[in-house]
Amino acid sequence: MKSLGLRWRVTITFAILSLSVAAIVSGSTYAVASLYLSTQRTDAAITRASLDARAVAASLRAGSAPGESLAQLPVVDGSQPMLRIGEQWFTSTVAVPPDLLPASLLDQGAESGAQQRVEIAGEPYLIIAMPLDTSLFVEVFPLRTLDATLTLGGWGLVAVTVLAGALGAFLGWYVARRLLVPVDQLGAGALALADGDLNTRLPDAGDPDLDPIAHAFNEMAEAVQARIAREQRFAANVSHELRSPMTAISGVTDLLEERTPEMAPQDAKIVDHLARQVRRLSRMLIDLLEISRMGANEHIETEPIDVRALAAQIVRAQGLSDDIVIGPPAVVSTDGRHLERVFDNIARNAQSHGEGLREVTIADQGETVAVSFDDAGPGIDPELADRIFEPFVRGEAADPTSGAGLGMAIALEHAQAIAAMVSVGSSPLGGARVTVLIPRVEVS
Amino acid sequence: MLRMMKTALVVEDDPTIRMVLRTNLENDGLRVLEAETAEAALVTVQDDMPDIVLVDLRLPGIHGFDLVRSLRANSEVPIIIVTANTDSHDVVAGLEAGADDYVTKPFVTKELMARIRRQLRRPLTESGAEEGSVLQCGPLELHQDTCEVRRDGIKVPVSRIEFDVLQALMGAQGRVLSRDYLLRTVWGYSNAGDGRVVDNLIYRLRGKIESDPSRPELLLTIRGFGYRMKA
Repeated sequence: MKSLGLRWRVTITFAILSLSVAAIVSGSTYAVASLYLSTQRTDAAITRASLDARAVAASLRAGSAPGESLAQLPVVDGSQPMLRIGEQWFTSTVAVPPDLLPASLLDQGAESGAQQRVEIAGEPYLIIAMPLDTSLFVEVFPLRTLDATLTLGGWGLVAVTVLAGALGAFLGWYVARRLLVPVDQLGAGALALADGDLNTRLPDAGDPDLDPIAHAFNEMAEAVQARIAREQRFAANVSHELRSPMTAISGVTDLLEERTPEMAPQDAKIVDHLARQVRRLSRMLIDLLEISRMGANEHIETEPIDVRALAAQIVRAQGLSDDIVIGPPAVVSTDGRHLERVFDNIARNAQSHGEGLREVTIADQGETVAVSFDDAGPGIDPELADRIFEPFVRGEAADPTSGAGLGMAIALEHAQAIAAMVSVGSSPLGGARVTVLIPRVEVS
Repeated sequence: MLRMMKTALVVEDDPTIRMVLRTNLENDGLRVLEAETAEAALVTVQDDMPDIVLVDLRLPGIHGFDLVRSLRANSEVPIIIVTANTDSHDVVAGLEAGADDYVTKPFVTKELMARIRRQLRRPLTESGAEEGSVLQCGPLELHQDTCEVRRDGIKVPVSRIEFDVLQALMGAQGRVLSRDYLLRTVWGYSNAGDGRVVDNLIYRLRGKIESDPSRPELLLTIRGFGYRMKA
């Protein structure tokens, strides 16, 4: 299982922590408040009941009827006084009938006085019983208001607890984000570097914990940049040092070749072989130097390019009629020189390895423009299709003197420079089809 | 100048490449001057102004760029850079210094000779223009018979290739000509070429014919397609 990211872990930890703290505080607050309120209520009820009992006793002694004695008592908070004389109950109201009172409480009350919390018909009551001469005085106090208050308070505390948890989560998320800013910067910097922006450097955050990371990154970028610059210089020198003698050799060979009509047939044949190999070497050298230079900080300059017009130009350069270019004009924003190199290499490849370029189809697909080059060859072996973009890979049928097999590799390199894609498949015409997908807007 | 034989100056430090170029140019009926260094080339042009100069960029001593710049400062002679430097910025720098075309080594002899011939082309024999015909565009007049360009009646000095580009654009009467078309018809390219060769020449041309080259009113860029003259 993939573990959660740092950001999530920090967020969750913060949430759990604040939730627990809030729950403990809320729980104890609730317990204390509920105990305090219940005790207070009980004490008040006992005081009330004692006062009422004394008032009833005085009234009875003065000769009043039991019902009268009870009726004169003030009703506070819906309290219900009751009197048992012998086996007969007297009460002024009938909210709680006497037969629902627990017997054990009454027995204990008759002896020494008692109190109990009971539920009668789903409602909470506090019942206080105390002996009054030979009779029993009972007073029932409804606890609904107190319970409602406690419930409300309890829910309030639950809400506060949940809120605290959410706040903790938010805080965790925020802290994690703040903590990860330098990490994100590091990641973005590394990506930019990988994308070829060798001037990428991280700023000093002024934080002794983070600056060493930024410094390490900057040093690495510096080293990479220096190394690439060195390699580029080397490649440029190699290029120059190889091109000059190659120019001399092929120039001299061209001169020799012009003289073959005046030569003995034997000599002419030798020169012919020489000329062919020199051309092959020259072509290969140009291609190799081109491919070795690619990817090294290639400058991209975008402008609107009519893909169809460019394809027609490439086809004409191969000595073919541009009638074979089919499809609508399609303008993309890209680097025309790279795209030209892509098309040129694919077209040349079709000409030299695919028995000739047969059709070029432009298809406007909205986000991209697809250009398909169909050749007149026997089609491509699917096993070779993936490898055709590797340098020096050619079809088995390819003429060994036709080229080094670098054309498709060069096409791919140039395509990558402009975020285009190249793929090889089968043409509906029977041969191989090379398709270039060009994004409408070049992503930088 | 009533000189029958045209002269080419080859500035190149590699003796074999010099020999190859000399032989090909002589086969084409040109007189050839050689210089191994830019310094020698500058001395040569003082005595004998050539009709075309081929310059290698990486020369011992003064760099090819500087040679091109000082040649261009004093004349409209066609300059072709023949270089093993293929780096983008070197190419641009060479063109900006004033070269009319560039060919990278190793070159195909036929292609190079075709380009040289195009730079040396005689205007009257190949332009196919009616005698005395004048193309007009705003304050600009292009006299096809005398190979003159005038702005508000005042003669503007243009090089051979600049004249050809202007003639093609003015002859197109406001139609857009692509860079590829211009490379093939004016520069004599047979393969796809580098559009920057055209861009750079247009830039130079604007400096000569526009009243404010940074805001062209006559020679307009159609981005992504090419160039056209104001109709």
